[in-house]
Amino acid sequence: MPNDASQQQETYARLCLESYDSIYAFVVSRSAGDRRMAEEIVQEAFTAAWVSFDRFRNESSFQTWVCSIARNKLNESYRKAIRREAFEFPANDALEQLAADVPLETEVLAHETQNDVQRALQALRTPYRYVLILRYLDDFSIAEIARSMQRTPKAIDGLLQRAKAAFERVYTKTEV
Amino acid sequence: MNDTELKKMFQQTDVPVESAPGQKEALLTQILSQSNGMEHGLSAFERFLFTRPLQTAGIAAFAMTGALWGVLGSRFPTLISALIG
Repeated sequence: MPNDASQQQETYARLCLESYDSIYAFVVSRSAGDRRMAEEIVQEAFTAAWVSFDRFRNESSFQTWVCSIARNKLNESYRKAIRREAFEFPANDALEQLAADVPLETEVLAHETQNDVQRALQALRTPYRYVLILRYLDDFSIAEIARSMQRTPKAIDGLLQRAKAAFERVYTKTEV
Repeated sequence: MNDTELKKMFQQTDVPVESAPGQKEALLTQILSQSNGMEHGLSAFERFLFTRPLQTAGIAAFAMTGALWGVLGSRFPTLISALIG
């Protein structure tokens, strides 16, 4: 890393402008198309990257490095949202009731799969949305999701089944 | 929907997205100006205040005592005695 402060700023600015769009796209897809949330996460990630830029050693690309920061920020944001919703991971016998509780009043007319998927995800409760994103977009295993969400694999498995059921209901409705 | 279908659908949402014009430049300006502000925002007095709090407290106490003595004159020791109890 360049030692001179202005040179460091210059390098950071160049890397930031080069990698911004791909980091932004990465976060937008993982926030189910919620651009407001994505902008906040991206801002936090780039700010954190600048604060510790002198520790960036080129061991990975700048984009990969900021992406991993953004992933942590996303995880943090989802965990906070789940806590705010005071979501509890219930036993499997409440499965059907929970799937029925999912809000279905979504006015969706778009027919593109991407939009339909994102809108259906946005209609779901945060834990459902997040577990689906981790499983099907990031291809995380149940154990990895459990670590990420600080839950047991069994709880995550149950949550994933409920999330799938809820997603299918909402998605089928939005497709019509 | 099976897992393969779901995975395929979700992967379709992972597409390039263009940020609004000027968005990244605005973010960059904000980050760098915040950082510059943090480095250069403290005046000499503020730096002294934060780096030498004991000396600052001593100087403030000495100055206040002097000022009170100046204003009260011979009544100053009485005030101190009254305050001590």
